[in-house]
Amino acid sequence: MKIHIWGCLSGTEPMPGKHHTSWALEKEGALYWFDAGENCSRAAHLQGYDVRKIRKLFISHSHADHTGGLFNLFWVMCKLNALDRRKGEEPPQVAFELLAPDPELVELIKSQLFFLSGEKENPRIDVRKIREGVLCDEDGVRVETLRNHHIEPDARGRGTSWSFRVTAEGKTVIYSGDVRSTDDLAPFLEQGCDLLLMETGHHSAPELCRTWQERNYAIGRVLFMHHGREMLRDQGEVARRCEAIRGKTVSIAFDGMELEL
Amino acid sequence: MKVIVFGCLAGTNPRPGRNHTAWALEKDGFLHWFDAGENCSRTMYFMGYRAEQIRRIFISHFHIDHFGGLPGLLGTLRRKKENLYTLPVYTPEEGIFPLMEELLRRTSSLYGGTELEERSLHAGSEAEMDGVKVSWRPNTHLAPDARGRSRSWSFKIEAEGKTIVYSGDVKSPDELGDWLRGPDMLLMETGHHSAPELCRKFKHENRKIGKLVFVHHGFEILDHYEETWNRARDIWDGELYFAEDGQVFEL
Repeated sequence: MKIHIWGCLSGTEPMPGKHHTSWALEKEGALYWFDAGENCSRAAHLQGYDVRKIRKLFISHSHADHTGGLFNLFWVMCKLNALDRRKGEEPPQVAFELLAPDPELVELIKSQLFFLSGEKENPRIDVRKIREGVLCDEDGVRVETLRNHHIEPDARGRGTSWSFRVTAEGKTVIYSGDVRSTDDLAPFLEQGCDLLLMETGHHSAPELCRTWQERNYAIGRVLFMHHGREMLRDQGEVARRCEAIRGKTVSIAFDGMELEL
Repeated sequence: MKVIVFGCLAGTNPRPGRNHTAWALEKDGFLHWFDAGENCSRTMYFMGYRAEQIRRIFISHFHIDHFGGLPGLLGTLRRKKENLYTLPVYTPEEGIFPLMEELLRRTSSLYGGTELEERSLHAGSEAEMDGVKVSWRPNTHLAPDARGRSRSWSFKIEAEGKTIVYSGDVKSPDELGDWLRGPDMLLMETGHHSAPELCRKFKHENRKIGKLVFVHHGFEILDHYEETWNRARDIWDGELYFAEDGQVFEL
């Protein structure tokens, strides 16, 4: 079981070698994909992964640094199908569920894309609204959600933001999404985890390490991602300060990173 | 005056070092932008340009390899809070621009800033701004819409006494018609055409093209670069380029 980081950057200014946020848990060849920042499908493809192996796609919130790659992700699926046909091979039927806070946004993208590409049924993407609780529990992968306060919903209930807990093969991974405060994650963090994927686009990584230490959370390993200005300024210094608190159980994500679980 | 290539790839499978099609003409510090494939705003940033330098955007057709980066590019502009202006976006067919605006509204809490103004390519055939005249004509890369209206376009750009022709995606280079009579630069797509065959055709037709720049690379150039280059080079005597992301041409 592996974690793949396709993109580790927040929506600050561009940073060389880093793209907007997207990652996946790979289990037995299937990809459980979280967020879809610009370049995610390109990154996965160039790292040797077939984006058509997505089993589920989860969107933490609709901001562009988490959804800007959806257009191209769907397009690449269509293109790979076309390339299979060009080689005389029948492409695999791709079908997966996409869970998002704003399904209408995804439907907008999907409808135009399939109109443009000519693909009608492959990939077949079933878009559903994210809800609180257990989102999926199949093939040994359980995904639970936690509503956070990064953005507050509008009058129509749009604009919610979510954090995730993934359990598989006896391991627990928490993905913060974007959060207002680490307090948003407390219900998950209080129960501990093997790996925490934590955003630093809105927070100071060393301060987070200190808070978790004070609260005595049982976090096996921390992987900081969704990097913001603190990391842009001096990633080495941030890493040193975090290690001074957590030792070697803290890492800073980079595009193309693979992590065995 | 410069032509800047932000992305040179067709809609094949992803390739290292190449992004989908986008380029701009820079004149007097302003950018007249054509097509907007994924990652174009990022490439622009690393080349030292800023979104607020963009004066207008032309989209040749609504395939993802020509507009997948448009939400990102427009989103970058919409985040600006100072020195706001109205940015004309010339669109090849109806119905997609509202989708873009809706997309921007739903994907950014910072929505606001610079106004976008849709201008349909159907509404005219040329537009001049800051000494740069852009003309367009339909091509048949895409079938017309239900009302028989064109959905894909080619462009001619005139500035400082120079002429640049951009094919967009075309079924045949013949669709460029009299624009092939002596442009200073031809940006010609090779996603649907063989570069050596184009060279042979242009040579046979005795075309006088200042810089022949192939863009929007497809499998021939991507998978057989050297062989294709050598074949094209053997045929075409003039200035010849297979564009790269980040390449800048002085005019």
